[in-house]
Amino acid sequence: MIRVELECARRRLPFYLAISGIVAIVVAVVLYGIDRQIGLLRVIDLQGWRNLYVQAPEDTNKRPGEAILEEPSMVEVVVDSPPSVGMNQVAIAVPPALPAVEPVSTSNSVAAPISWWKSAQRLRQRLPQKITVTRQQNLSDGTFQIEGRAKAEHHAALRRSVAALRIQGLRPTLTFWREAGGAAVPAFIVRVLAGSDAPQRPPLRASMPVDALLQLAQGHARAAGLVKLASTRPTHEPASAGNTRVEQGMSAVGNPTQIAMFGTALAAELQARLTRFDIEAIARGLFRVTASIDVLLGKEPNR
Amino acid sequence: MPGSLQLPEQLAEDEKRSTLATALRQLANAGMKCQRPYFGLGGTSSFVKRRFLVPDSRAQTREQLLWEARQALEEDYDDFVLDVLQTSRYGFVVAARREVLELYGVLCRHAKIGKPGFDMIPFALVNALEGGGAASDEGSDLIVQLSDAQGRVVLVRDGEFEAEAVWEWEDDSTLMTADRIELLRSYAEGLLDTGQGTQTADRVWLASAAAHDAAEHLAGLGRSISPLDPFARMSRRTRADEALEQMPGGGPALAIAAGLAFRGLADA
Repeated sequence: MIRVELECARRRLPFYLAISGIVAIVVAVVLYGIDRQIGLLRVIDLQGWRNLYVQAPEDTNKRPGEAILEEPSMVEVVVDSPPSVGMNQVAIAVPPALPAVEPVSTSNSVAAPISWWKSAQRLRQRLPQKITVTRQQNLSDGTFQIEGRAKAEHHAALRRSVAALRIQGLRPTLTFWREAGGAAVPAFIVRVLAGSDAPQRPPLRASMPVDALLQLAQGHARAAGLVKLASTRPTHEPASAGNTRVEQGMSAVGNPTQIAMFGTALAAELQARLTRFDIEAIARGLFRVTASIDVLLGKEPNR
Repeated sequence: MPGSLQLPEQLAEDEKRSTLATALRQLANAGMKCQRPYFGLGGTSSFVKRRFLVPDSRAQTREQLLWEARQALEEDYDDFVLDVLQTSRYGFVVAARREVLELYGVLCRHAKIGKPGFDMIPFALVNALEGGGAASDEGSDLIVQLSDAQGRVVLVRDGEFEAEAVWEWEDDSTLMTADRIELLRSYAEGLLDTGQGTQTADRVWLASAAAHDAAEHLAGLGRSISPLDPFARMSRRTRADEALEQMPGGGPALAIAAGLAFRGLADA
């Protein structure tokens, strides 16, 4: 009797592949659940790691020495819809009011972290990655601004991102323009009016040396490792009840880590209030930071 | 069942496979039940390739034959199910297309008639010869099995399978024409050719109705020419005898089916 065996065992997936597939499905379901319930990015917090960094300029159309004008000559201007009125500002929570006046002797103490000066960096993370950001501005009144360039094919994505900000309760405006010089890549500005956790008033000082504010800012800049320090003349303006508000501006150059250290120190400074913190890309990996701090000169309330 | 089905090609067509499954279920409902159905493989769905033996080592012969099959099939290797048959003179690689076997499996699942078993048609004929008690350990046997579409001759030497020849008829006739007789004789003589001339088979067995019709033209190929009755050794009831007599070709027409059944009995 001839008995050849031609049994046809069903072809099956190798065991390890089957197990891998099941594990992958389970992991995907778990991650999906976490994402739905909590948000994966909240868990991983990749955005948080990147908050301190701004994108280096990649605009090859920019001519050497060409500056981006604050008020560029506008050949084409597209303004997004006006700020929504009455919407809640949910993106930036306002912490309890910080004490406006603190004794000088507490200058080395650390106050509650103030984060408004990083709002533009955070805002950058919500915009398309393919745009080029050249400048970020942060004002203590809750106004933040991002300037940059975006190719035409990325405009729709930029508009969608800005619209998403509006849905989230912020009040953004988006402006495109093309410089008169004929730069190939249109420029844009996103302005956002959000909240701020800056102190409502500057610290009140009875008196202070003329260059005390500048020395204070420069001391933090040097401690952070910044270079090319420059200052502007301090401004004086009358304030209520015979007080005078003095504001000192300065700029310096450094890398993102150094700038972050500088901003953290200024924001935590109790002898002065940080009022402006702008970052401008000047070369790959290097940025110019422009900051302003102020104090209120007058009679301290307990004297 | 309307018309006839060309197996295994038409198993791939859902409609025709469903028709066949329905017919098989009806047969089962009518009382024709089996523990396991067996299917005979031939044509393009399978092949038998004869090779030489590694002396005194069945294991090495098997290994060698499978290695050669892998080399020959190359990237198609995984598409075939392989086994090896070893006789005292030769080693045979037996291969069947996996897809065809799977189609038979699907058919049996639809018909709910159990897991299919498989055998090669020439082996089924040899088993039918053995089951009918006609096999001999000495001499040569030539089994002739003819149908409307093709012819097949199987050479058995000293009770062992030795070679097979299969061919398609070159005309559409339903009769054994002179051309068909010439073709049949040429294939049979080819099997019997030892290289030093064509030998005469000791026994020629007719394993189909058409082969029985061609018997008178096979003179000279064998010393004896007889119908292959696979049921010759079985004690049968009169009603079975009557049924076989009424069937065209009688018992020999069922040689392949009987060979498959004997194989199934041996496996059980």
